[in-house]
Amino acid sequence: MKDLDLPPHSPLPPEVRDRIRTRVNAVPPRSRYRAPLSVAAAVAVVAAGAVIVGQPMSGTSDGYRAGTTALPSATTVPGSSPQLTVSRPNAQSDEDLDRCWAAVATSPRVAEYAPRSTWQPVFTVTRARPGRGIGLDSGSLVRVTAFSDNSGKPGFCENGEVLSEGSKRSWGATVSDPSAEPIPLAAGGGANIYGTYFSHGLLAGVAQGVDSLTFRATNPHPDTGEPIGYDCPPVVRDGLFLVEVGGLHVPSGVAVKGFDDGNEVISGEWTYDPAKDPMTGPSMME
Amino acid sequence: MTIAKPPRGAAIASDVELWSRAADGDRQAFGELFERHVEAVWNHAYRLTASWSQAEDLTSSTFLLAWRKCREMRLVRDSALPWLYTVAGNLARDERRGTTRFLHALRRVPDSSVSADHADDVARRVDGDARMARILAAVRSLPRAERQAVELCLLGELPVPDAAEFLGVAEVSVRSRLSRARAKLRTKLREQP
Repeated sequence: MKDLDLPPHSPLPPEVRDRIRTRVNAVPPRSRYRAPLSVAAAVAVVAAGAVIVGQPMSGTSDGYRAGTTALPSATTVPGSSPQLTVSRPNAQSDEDLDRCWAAVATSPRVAEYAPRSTWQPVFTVTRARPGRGIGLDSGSLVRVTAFSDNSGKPGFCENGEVLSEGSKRSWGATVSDPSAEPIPLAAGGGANIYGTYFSHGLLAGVAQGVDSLTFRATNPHPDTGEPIGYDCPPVVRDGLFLVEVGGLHVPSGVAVKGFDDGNEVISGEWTYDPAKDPMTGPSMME
Repeated sequence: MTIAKPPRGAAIASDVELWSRAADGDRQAFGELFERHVEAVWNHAYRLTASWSQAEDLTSSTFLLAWRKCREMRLVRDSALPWLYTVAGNLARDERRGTTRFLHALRRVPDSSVSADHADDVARRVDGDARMARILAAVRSLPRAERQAVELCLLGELPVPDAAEFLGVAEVSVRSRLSRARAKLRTKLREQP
């Protein structure tokens, strides 16, 4: 444009074109993506990447192997469903955050998020559902990594993979919405508990002024619709929590109690409102 | 490295067709999209960064994300450029706020090139870089809606109808934003030494 006096477009030098093409092919080693460009010179790099990235999520027609869930630092959440485990931040956590950032970076809402370089993982919870071995239900895997940025603002990054008939996989990454209105669970007396992310039956959020939590979820019976209450053991680390409360349907609800040094200091209840938007931000599927 | 250009048939496939095939995993189709648009994206990336070396990184990242996202994206007006330009703009903003690990990872990829190249010819481009940096500083000060329109239509030189459809607004809105932005940019650029 004349009024901006922009430098004119330049022809792309062949050596620069080659370097860009090579980089696009040479996907970062921890990624599970296949290289996109069909270029003979990059075949060796692509092959090496494929071997490395094939390891973390290995599925069979019978469900998932323990490759991802049986990390040395992973422990089963006491009292939870057998497949729920929590682990310290690890290489998988970083890779999952990279995927969530990829969803953010290609979203018009990218400006609402702190840069990826400031995301620090706090813990990762994995829920592996073994498949029934036949038909469409071949298992699923969901990992949620809690993270915070330099300002202390929390976020949750979900990575999931579903196996369907013929071992066909679909994979997706979803990140919490930093602008979503929190779910108020309990507040008062210097303590505050609120949810900031819900997906696949997992509720995550912030617990301030308490050191432990108990949750009791209420969900309608699938056949009779009668409300059924059950205890849900949460993961609580560094002021962030995640708990499996199941699918939300009217009249679903969650009751929470917060404790400090073993003393109950706060309690509250929340009833599911289907009119509220889901608390998820950008996502991407592969 | 040997440049392997994708084979072309008698008819040139549209971006929509190539994008659709790439979404199904056709790397040859994505390669053709890459060859078709890499120069435009690289030039646009320069206008977003005022740096040829950063433009190279940004172009790589943009096409990597394009490969990852093509299954869920729909093209408008048979051109992949509005989407590619927007991705490049988002990545450029993040790069300014704090370099991503994603880009760091890309930079760690071994580079066998040892010869002097386009990006090394700094002296010849100092004036252009400085001018571009001044323009960029002015563009970044614009309100978001105006900045988006400027990045697509002025820096990226996309037709207004394409930008309007991509942004989901009326053409008249884009023209209005551009008009306001031009006036502000002229003022800001005149104020700068």
